[in-house]
Amino acid sequence: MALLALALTLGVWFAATRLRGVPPILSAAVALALLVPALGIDPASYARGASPLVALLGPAVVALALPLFRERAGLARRLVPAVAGILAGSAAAIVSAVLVGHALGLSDALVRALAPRAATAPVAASVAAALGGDAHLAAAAAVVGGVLGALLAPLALRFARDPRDAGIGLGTAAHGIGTARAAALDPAASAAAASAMALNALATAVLAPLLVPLLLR
Amino acid sequence: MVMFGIPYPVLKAGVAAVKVPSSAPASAAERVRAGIVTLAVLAGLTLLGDALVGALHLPVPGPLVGAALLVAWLTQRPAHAGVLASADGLIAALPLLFLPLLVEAVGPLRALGPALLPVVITMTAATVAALVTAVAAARIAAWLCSRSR
Repeated sequence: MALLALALTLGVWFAATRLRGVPPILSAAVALALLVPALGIDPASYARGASPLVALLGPAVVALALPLFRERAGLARRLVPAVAGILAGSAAAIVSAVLVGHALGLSDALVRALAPRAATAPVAASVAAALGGDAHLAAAAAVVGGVLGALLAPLALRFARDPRDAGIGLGTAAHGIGTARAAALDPAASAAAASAMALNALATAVLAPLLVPLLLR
Repeated sequence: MVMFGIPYPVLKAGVAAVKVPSSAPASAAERVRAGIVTLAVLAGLTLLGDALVGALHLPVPGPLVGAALLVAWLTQRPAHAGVLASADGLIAALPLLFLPLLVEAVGPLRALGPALLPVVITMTAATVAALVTAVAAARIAAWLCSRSR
């Protein structure tokens, strides 16, 4: 039963990578969201079965040190723009989530869960919990928002001109999922995205507890 | 002496066991060994990052601390970057590794009921705002830097 979830995930992934035009993570997630309940697999046993993949996430994030190291000279030359972009993007993510969520009539509790969503899922969950929001929803919003950001990667690369700036945007707005997309498109963007993801996690942990109470008053 | 809950002799033996070879692998057997060493180093740094985050109450996830440690290590020993090159394969697999989390996100989102649509609109708006602001701010800062020079 445990191997079923793993085999299903891998099989759907390979099918999804053959589908042109749609990012595989999106088509695979939709297919699995439909298949898992249809096959009578309950969510908890799916999570247990797919856990070997999730366990590799930590080492894969550590591996991002390699593109970062290879591109270190290029990144160092663009240090000031990178830090400016990450801080501005981090603040924009928090402020826009609170303002748009409020304007659409979401409850304060929901807004608190959505505010830290640009940070990587574990940071979003712990920041949301500290703000008084639901940690599970915050993690889910971070992952789904990451996919939304990754969908915009080709546009970001065109709009930014310098791939390092596109990487800064993707790492800030879409954490690991945006970084993964950047890694598939451009090595310089990949390294910039990895550093932006790390710095934005820190920035969100500092900025969200300052900005959210101010905006929700 | 106990470090990160691991007795020091055990820690020292563990570090010695994953002694990183100093050149890039050539034969198939060496590539397999390099892959195993890479995974051991990456997993060890993940655990070390988690331990540091727990001990120092850092506001970032452990793997990001592990990545920072690896960058610091590689600046001291640049030759090791060649040995750890198989880590690129793991980076290429990152979207697949996120897939189960995305499938598991369906539950909390479905539980929102009628609030789902405004939540999705808010998430989309915040993502676009963060991306556009970050790229625009980086470009403006780069332009200001080049002008002041």
